[in-house]
Amino acid sequence: MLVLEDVNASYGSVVALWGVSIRVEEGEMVGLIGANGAGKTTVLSTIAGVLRPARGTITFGGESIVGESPEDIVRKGIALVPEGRRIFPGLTVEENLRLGAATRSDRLGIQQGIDEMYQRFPILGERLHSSGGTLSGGEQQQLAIARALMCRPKLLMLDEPSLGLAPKLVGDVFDLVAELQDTGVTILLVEQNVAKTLQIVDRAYLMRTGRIVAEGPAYELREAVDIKSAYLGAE
Amino acid sequence: MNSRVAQLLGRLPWAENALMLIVPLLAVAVAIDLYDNLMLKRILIGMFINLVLVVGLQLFTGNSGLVSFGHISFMAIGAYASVLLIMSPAKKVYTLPDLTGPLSQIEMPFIPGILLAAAFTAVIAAFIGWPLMRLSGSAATMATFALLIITHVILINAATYTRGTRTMYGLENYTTLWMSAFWAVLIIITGFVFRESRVGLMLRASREQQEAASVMGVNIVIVRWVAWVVSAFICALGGALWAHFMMVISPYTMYMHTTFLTVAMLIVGGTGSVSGAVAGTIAITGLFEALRAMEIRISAFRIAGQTAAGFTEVWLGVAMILLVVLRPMGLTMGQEIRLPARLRGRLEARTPKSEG
Repeated sequence: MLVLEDVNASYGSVVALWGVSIRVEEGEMVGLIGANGAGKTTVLSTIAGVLRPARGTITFGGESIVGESPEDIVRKGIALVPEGRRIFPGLTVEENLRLGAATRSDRLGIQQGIDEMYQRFPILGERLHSSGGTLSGGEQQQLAIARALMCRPKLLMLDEPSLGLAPKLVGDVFDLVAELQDTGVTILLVEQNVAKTLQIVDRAYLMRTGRIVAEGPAYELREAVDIKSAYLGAE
Repeated sequence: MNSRVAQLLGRLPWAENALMLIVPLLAVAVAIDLYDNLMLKRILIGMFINLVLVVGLQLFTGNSGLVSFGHISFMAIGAYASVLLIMSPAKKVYTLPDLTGPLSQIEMPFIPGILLAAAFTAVIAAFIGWPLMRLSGSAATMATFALLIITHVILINAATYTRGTRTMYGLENYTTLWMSAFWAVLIIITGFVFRESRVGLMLRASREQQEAASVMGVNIVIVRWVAWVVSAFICALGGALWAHFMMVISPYTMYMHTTFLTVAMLIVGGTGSVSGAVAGTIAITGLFEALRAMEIRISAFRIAGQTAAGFTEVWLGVAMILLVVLRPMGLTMGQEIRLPARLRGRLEARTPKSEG
């Protein structure tokens, strides 16, 4: 479904990705793990069209998406839940959800989508007219995910959904992500929480300093001895 | 009737805010029309025209978060364009003797004339805005300021159409109290409708989290541009109304001073809401007129042995500094004005539940 081949990307003169190749098949949940600064977020930004790759190809459903604008990539069915949630604090819960459907124009479908989200995330339905900034961290994460689902994505990319949440809520978020896969959406999950991620994903890629250093089914990576060292950034 | 009002409030959540602004404004207009005091009438007409300008400015600044010092150039273009379209050919012979071609012959009725002038201004704004809306923050603000200066210089030098530095005279007084009230009310409603619209929502999102809005699929340049063009149209309307209220205009009367005053009205009231634009306009107009009345009296009595030239400006400046220090978010703190809680409770009890 999504194929990155030999992708290099850089911020100005600083190269952040070196020859990154990733495949995500339809219906899969794939993890992208590694320490802080390994380049995981950069991979997502590059797929989302925020950053343009300096080299390599990115195809989605067999079509190249390199050089497309972020909104065209959303239209093609790739949604991103950005790091730190990035909900719109001054807008109401409902307005946040309506924005998730910014690329859609079917008024009725959007309303239906909002109702669906209220069923799946009842807490959001209760706080319909509250501004997003008044929600708790866990609620904001639910809102960020619901907002991304509003564009009916084929591929959902989550960037550190457990970051900054209370330990009890971290488990809830992973449960939620696991449930999402059951609804048929393909997921690319970026996480620092390696142990929890490898419990729910099908396959994973391990990144270190801008490179993919290991890949394989979750159970294999779980057993790989050097995960801990990669995670801690040690050689 | 109450239940019908309640239904309307349920469907259009902003209707309550709009009514809270419009009803008192119209009540004041009726009172002053009945009282029939020429000076009060003129103050009120001036305030209604400022409402058009400031709400027009709020539509752009409030939703996009970009401060513009350039909107008074749209007011000026709208004012001059409306004069060219509306003034009779017989008068143009005297005021604009160098004018030739269809512009020297055209004579449009007032309302179509000001609408066409505003549309013309909006087209100009569309061209200018296309590159300008790619800028952000202080770079955007400086660019709009440059636009104000460029427009001013062009108006001064296009003497064939504007009489240059000389005053343009011979305008008819079309902007009556009710004409200005009508447009002020219409523009206030427009401000709410725009904010709640799809484009308005996207624009507010991009103001709060630019990158997040972008990955949601919001094209920031386009939504900003739409707001820019709509607000230019509104400010041009304000300029056209103002021209046919003052009956004399010159490029100097629609320049720095007006820019400062309208931006101050918006900031004092609070850029974040339409209510803020309205509250700021009322507050600054009231303050300005009160200070001016005092200045005239002080001058008349020669208190301290001299006239009080500059009194209004100095104290207006002091008052603005105080307001901004004490309420940095503006008088309305970015909120809309709502019904008093008791009345709201009574109405909501009658609202048929639509959700669930």
